[in-house]
Amino acid sequence: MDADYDIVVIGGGLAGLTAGISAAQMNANTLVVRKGEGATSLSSGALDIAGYLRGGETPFLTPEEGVAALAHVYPFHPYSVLESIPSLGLKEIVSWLKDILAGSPSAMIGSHDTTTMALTILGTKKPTCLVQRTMHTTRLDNTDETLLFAGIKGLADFNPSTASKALMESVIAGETGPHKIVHTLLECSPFRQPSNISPVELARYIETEDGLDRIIKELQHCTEQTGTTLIALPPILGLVNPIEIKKRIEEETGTEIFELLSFPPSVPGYRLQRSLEASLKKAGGTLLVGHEAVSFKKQEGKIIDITLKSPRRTFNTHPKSVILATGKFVGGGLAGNRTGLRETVFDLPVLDGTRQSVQDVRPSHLTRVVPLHKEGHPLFECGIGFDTRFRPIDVKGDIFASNLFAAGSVLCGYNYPVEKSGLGVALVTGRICGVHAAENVTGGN
Amino acid sequence: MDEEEAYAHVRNTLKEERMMPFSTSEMEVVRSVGQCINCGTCLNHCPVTRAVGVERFTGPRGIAVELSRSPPEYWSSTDRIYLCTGCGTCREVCPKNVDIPNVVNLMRRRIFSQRPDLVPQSLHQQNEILRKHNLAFVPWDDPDEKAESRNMRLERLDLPFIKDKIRKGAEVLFYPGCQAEERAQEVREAAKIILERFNVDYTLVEKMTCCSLPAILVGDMEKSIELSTILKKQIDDLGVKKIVTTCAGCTSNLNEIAARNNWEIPVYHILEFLVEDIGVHEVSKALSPMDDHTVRVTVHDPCHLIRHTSRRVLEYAHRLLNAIPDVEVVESSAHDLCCGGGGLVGRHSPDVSRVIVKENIRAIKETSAERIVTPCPLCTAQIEESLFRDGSDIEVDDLTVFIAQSFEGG
Repeated sequence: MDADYDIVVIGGGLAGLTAGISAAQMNANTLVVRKGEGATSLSSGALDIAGYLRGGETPFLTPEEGVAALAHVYPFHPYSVLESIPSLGLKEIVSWLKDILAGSPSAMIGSHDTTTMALTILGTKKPTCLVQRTMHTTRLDNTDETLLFAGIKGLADFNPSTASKALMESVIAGETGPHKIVHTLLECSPFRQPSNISPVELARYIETEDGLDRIIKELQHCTEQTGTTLIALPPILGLVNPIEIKKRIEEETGTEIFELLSFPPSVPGYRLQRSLEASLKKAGGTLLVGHEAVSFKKQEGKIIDITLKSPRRTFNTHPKSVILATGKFVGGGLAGNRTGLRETVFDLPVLDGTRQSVQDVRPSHLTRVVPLHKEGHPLFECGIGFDTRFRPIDVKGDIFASNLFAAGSVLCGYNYPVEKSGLGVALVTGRICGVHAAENVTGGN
Repeated sequence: MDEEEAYAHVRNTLKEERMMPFSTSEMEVVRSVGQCINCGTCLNHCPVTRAVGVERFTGPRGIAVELSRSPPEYWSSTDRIYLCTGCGTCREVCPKNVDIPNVVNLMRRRIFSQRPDLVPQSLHQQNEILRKHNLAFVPWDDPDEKAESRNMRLERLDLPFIKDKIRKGAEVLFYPGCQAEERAQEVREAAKIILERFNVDYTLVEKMTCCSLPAILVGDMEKSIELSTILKKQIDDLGVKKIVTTCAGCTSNLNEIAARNNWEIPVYHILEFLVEDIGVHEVSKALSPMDDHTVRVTVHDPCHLIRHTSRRVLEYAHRLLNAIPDVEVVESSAHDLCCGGGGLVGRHSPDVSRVIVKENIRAIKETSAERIVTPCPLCTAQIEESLFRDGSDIEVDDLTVFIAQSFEGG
């Protein structure tokens, strides 16, 4: 049976949900449709906006500066569009996101005019913009702190000993940091064997009374012995109420604790995904999971029909605007094989960072010989081209459809792994597309 | 030796060496495993891993790794492969579309045919029932006792009894599934009341036989094909144009078989039939307040509907519930979490099944609902038993029964 919505957003990661929330807040009847879990759930849960220029080693002083620099150096960068929309500046967008996440498990701290150097699970620091409240600390630069890296026995993701060594080396090399760094392995396993534990298991365990008591006891024991004032934990502080858990542990141990940035799929990433879904619902939007967009109909330059498919059912929608936020290779927005790259829903031409077609280029030819290259792999810059309203362009360079917008990593022109701009571009483009699509709907009436 | 003979010879040699070549459809499933990028997203969502930990159940990733990174010595996985409830959560969240539920079925199939000694005894017992009766449950010995049990259930629910109809050339086949046929008879009766109410031209099957899902879960390929063939013959004899069921498992399994074997007869859950064929507006005309006060209900989403068929089916459930006057729906935080009743896990490891459902029970109790409804007799039974064990006074109803109960004058 068909369903009618003003706006259909294809993809439900950060870009799709941001677009969906924005449109729903403007009273458009919005459907966000997603096949699975969304790649945002695989992220660290911190929101990077702009960290480095490609090849650079010095992080930008502020995300704002980074956005301007990237837009200036790379004219085709998605951030270059921001200049032409004064009403939706970076400042507005960042504070909008903070507002919608306020009070959620992944409430964010940070601002557009400060680069936060967040400590990772490897003991290194990474430039980012917003971190979740549980990942936030201001005391990392205090030299008189004693920092404890507390790992969990059986949690393979985090080795507190190497992390403390890495941080100590950077302090010795002249960076400001705690004068004393210690590490420990806590024993608190949700099941019998302390081996092969995943962060999510621990996050669920810590939400039980037993689990929380256990970790507090272990931490108390360790802080008394070492005189710890600041504790770095892997991100396991719960899925639903991490802020209360953080507070409770801090009260019981007399220290400040914070979560480190971790590998995918992380607990904070999971929290961010769930919090955004809750915001969409609150704004009046609908989320439909387990469906893929499989085909479309276009008439007179407009998308008039999208076919959505679940394992055993298919139905059509007739949206007034469509937002494509299907992501890149993990999200499924782009697919590559030995004959080249293609966009999976509308078969839009795939371009590289300089807007040359890579339709027939074997993806392996878009990677460098060195896996970790400072300039990054050109493959990650590939995506679909867009105009200043984020409408995808077709083979001839014309707008593909006047009511189709695209957001997030399906777009070309930015190299998120080296720029540290992944979720930032998703946020900025998602917000702009959501507003544009909603205006398109109300303007069309 | 000609080519045919050579092929037959090679096949026999393979059999002696306990090797089974993959069929084309199996090959697709096996290839999907090669896509696994080991990200672990499935482990974060698997209800069994959540309940018992990776030590007991290595989870979807463990199963994928086992199949893709080591030689397929399936018997090494037997302690885990029977703990999968087949909920399909992993397949849904997987960024690479690895088809774990079908991988599990494939492995169970192979273990059954090559090392039946490793198949849990309880599953063999289940299969004996299937082989003997063509049903998932031992049928009632005495038809009078069966009728008495049915009447007692109807009386308790204040529902009228409508005689069975078997009519060739009817438009719709109502297929209740084994649970509603032999155990939860009120579901079967409620569906008849609903179909009758909207003057649907329907029929039942002459002799109820299983849809074949339990045989697939045991791994008995031969029996599953036999069961689906028996059912198809009955369907053909009746000449119906569509099939309506009240069971989530039957809905997804019959849809899969119908698609694979080109039945060209659509299979719907009764919720879909009510919304798409009758229309919510039409249904709402028949509904009246159930009680003298607002009834607060919460809904449990059966995996076989949301993840194996379509999440829209439960959207329909909400539309229908909202159409009943004085019913308020409150959401449980675990509404789409597997109840642990699937995959025959309840048969072979009831302890695991009971730990899985704990999370559902916790979330249901957290809502202010006085009643939980779900459009699947198996989920209903699993949740009802667990709530009872828990000492809760929250009532449990199959959604089909709940709708029939809210008919005006019904």
